[in-house]
Amino acid sequence: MRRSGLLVAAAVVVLTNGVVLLEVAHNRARAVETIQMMERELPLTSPGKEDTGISVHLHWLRLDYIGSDYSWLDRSKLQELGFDLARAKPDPLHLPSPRPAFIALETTAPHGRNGGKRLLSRGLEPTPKYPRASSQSTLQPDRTRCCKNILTVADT
Amino acid sequence: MPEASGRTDAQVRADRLGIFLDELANLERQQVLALTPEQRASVESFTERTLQDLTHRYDIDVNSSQKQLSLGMRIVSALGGLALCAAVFLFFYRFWGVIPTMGQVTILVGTPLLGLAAMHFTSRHERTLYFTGLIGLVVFASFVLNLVVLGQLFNRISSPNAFLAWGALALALGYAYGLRLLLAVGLICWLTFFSATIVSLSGAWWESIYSRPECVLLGGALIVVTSIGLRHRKHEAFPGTYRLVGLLAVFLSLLTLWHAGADSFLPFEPKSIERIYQLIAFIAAAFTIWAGIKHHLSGTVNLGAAFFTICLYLKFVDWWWDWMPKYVFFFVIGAIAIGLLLAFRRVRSAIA
Repeated sequence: MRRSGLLVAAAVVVLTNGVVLLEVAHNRARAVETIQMMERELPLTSPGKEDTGISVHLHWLRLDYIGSDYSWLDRSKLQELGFDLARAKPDPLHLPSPRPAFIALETTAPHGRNGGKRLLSRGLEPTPKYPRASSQSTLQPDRTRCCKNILTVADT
Repeated sequence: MPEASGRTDAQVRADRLGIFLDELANLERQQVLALTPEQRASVESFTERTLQDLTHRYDIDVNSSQKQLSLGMRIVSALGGLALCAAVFLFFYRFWGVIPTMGQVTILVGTPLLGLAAMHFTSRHERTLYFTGLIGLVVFASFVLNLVVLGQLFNRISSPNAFLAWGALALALGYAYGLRLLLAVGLICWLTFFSATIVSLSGAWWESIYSRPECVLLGGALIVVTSIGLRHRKHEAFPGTYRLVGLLAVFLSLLTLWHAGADSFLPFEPKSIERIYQLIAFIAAAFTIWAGIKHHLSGTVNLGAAFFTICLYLKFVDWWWDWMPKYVFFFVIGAIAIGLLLAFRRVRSAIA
């Protein structure tokens, strides 16, 4: 019993790592293009006193940081993303659960927004997004990248 | 007398022998029973031989001092396990940056495998399995770290499937060595995987399981049902762990839904859903107490009684907190507690 249990445990460790590493290899093998990013978009995370690890994080601006105009993300678009707004409205304390959706990130922002003041001091800003990846054909190919992310409806 | 089939049985038998010797001495003191010197010698020789045999084979506690020490050892092993897990984590945290990617992957995969080998080694050299249990916790923690760090290293999206793997490892080790803590950890991992998968199937992001208590409720109920269906001949204490984890999941979910009807999948008004789940909570508590009494499961009875009391007090708060002066509210609660005690006393006398 002990020996077989131990072998099952070892098999779980080996198999799980095998599956993860195969998926990583598969994911990296089908890269269609490489995006060169600067420290503006990918700043280094400041390490702790006993941390020698190096990590960067994708810096993208959020509604609660910049107070931008998100009126484009209207009721119809949210419903297209799968949020049940009719149910959320009578009970703002229990908003719909977050769900995966495709969004686009704009790597360079045009000037002149928000009364001439540039909104993107650093980082990426989500631009008008689409729930389906195929919709990215409407985006500007030189400035935007589409990715999967988790969207939450905020009570504003 | 049948052979003791495991350490638990051996401990029960040693306890019974101890009680028998105490009672024998008591009866002799009160001159109710008088053994001849031959009978006394025979009894003492038998008990001593049996206790020595049980101690040699199962490393059991034969007196109260040993029992207290064993409890202390269990606490120390749990704390030691936690400290070792922290040490492993902080060690890699400190030197991680200077190790190349291939080395990092090798360390991440190799650490739990090395731990498994250490478990195998220690289990062959100890009967109590304190160190084996402690290393088991380290193995589990290193496997969690393994998948989490691999995910960060290669930028993988978090997934509930990791809980399936973590649970499988914990359950395999729990069953292999009869370790209840790892069994409980494994069940919690599989409960999380089950609940998160249902949430994912509903279209939401899997991490929002906390806002969908019904998924946890269903998983907890499944664990309780499994404890009834699964036979544990070798690990007699395991069904108790199944019931504890399953019932706690069910009760905590019902308590969440008590005031959060809007988090339900049911297509009714939130207030109506809350009332439905309040009724279900009382029925579940009463059923747990009844089933516990019927099958002589003291832990289940206590858990059911505790949940019933919490439900009762929550209902009192719902009914009276807003309009009753606070001192009257607590006076009424105290009076009800005294009333319940008197009722239980009467039932206890009737059963005796």
